[in-house]
Amino acid sequence: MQRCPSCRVTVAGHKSCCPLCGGRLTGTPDPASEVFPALEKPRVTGSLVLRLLALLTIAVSVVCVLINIAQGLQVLWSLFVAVGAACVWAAAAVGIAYRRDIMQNIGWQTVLIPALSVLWDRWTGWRGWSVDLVLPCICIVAMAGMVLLAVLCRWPLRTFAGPFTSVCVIGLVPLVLALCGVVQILLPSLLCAGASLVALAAVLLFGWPTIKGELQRRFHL
Amino acid sequence: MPQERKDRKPMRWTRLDNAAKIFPPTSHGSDTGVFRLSCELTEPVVPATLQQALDRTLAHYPHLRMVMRRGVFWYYLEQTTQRPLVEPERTPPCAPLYAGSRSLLLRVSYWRHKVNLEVYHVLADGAGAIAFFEALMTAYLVLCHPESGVDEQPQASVSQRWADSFQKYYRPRAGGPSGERMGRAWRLRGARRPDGGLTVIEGVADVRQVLAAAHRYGATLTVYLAAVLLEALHGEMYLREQKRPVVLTVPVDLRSFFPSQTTRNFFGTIRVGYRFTGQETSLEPIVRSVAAAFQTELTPERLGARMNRLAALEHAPLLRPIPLALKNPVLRLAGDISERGETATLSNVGRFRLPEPLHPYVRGFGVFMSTHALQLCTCSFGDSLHFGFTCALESTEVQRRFFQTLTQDAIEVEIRSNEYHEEVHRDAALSELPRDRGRA
Repeated sequence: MQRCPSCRVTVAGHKSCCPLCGGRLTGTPDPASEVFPALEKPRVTGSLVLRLLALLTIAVSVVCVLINIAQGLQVLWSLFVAVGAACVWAAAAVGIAYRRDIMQNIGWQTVLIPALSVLWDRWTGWRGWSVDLVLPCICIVAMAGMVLLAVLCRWPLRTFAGPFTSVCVIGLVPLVLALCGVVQILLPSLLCAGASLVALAAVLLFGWPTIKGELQRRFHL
Repeated sequence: MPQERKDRKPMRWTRLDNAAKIFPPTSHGSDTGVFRLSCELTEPVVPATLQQALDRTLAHYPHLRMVMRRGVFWYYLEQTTQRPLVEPERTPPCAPLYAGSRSLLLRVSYWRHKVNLEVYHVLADGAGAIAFFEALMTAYLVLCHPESGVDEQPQASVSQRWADSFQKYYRPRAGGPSGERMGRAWRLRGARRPDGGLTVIEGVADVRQVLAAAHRYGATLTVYLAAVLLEALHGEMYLREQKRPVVLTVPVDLRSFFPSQTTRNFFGTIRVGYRFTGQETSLEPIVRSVAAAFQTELTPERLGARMNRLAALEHAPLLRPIPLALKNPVLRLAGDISERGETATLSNVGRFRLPEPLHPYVRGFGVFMSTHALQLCTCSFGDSLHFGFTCALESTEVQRRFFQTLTQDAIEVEIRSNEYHEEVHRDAALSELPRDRGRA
């Protein structure tokens, strides 16, 4: 076994220098006594992908702003590109954060995408497309996607009760907006509200103990 | 999720205990809230047998098969049907375990002769995890050596092991005055590791030699080690910084004071400090000061009062309905403020016990805990005493001074480290783990 004359300790394994003082070791190395493996560097992580995406977003935005300046600033189209790229990055960030739980991922995207759409709609002079089309369509797609995944993968309700119920409740928002007169194109909102009500009724009728348990857990004080 | 499709029964869930609540908001960087127990055997580990032992042991500890989920006001633990799989050691000690609501909160890995159990502190404390690890290693060694004739089952029932003892012993309005505050402690400074991980230095000594040294100072083992660590930390201080105290946080197993067989968190902490200005800096007066502090702090009244103060915070009617998204930054800030009062942590998790016929197959046990600064965990098995230093800084000066004092007190120490792998040896190690790639 190796020994550090300075620290007066024996050193296990085969070290190039003393782990305590960094000094030279004497004696014979004993690789068999090593207790820690040499580890691989971390593989590609979610945070690395996010940072790469952020860099790409910034690069695209910078290039567009520079081209915009070179062309003259009559129309600020590069601002649209930059904000759009930031929105894509935000959606990707949520996707990466919930990559291990597809149902929660769908649930959070159902909140984020309509919210960003409403902001875009408002910023570009409120034409109402965000609440007329995006919100109801996203809710319908999310509900259908969740049901399809659950059926295909045979996942029990308890594994996705929280996100599914939340999406169904969000799906009622277009109905409220329609009743308040905010919505101009009624059909998508009514379809969404109908699907949400039927899905909520089905969940409450056939999965009430699961929903009750989920509510108790999620809202416990 | 695919494994969960078979079981359509409702899953049990439970609140986080009082001590566990602080870990999710404060787990970040090198302080992952994960601790590692390791067992070094005399024979290479057989993964299939280890998996069999893990399956058998977990059947007696179903409450450790949990995932952590976010509620609106608090996190909570939910049982899962996911099966923990043993894996080759591929992550650094105390690597994060919680990565979302599907993550199991324990990991069992192996390398050559060594088995590691890593546990997120939300799930269990040191004493609780030790009970499980002892059961796991007993089951594994019995499977490997049926001729040993050992047949051990856990003594406590599942409900006893899953009890929340903080709730059991909480008495409202029984907090009592807090002890003397030492103010802001001196903090270790220096470059952090570039990979954001931990420098691990492991020391192994003969417990009889360490006890003999402690007795020469008229101290117990923990008091002696705390004094040696304080002295080692003092060596790193600038003269102008010595007005601040060097403070050690020492976790205390409350099961010794309040009867409980839970494997969940049931520990308190005491703080032991020493101000080096105007006081002697040799080991004897530090030992005397630490011994006095231990005597004052380690009483059921003081520990109970502190436990009640912390539990009262959790039960405060105005704090409970604050949404988790707002609670998390507040709890993280509270954790950061609390950390300002400590320099390092010393945790003596005690003795590992296995049935006597299995002792010939075990070289020793070890413990490591993630930390934002520096932590020393000690444990013993048979005559071997294990020191597990984890440090978020690159410098190993405190560890060097600590072991230097021990060797000056005629204690022989063997050092192991996760650093400075010789190239030749690295290649040899890689040939045993085909999936691993070496790190320079």
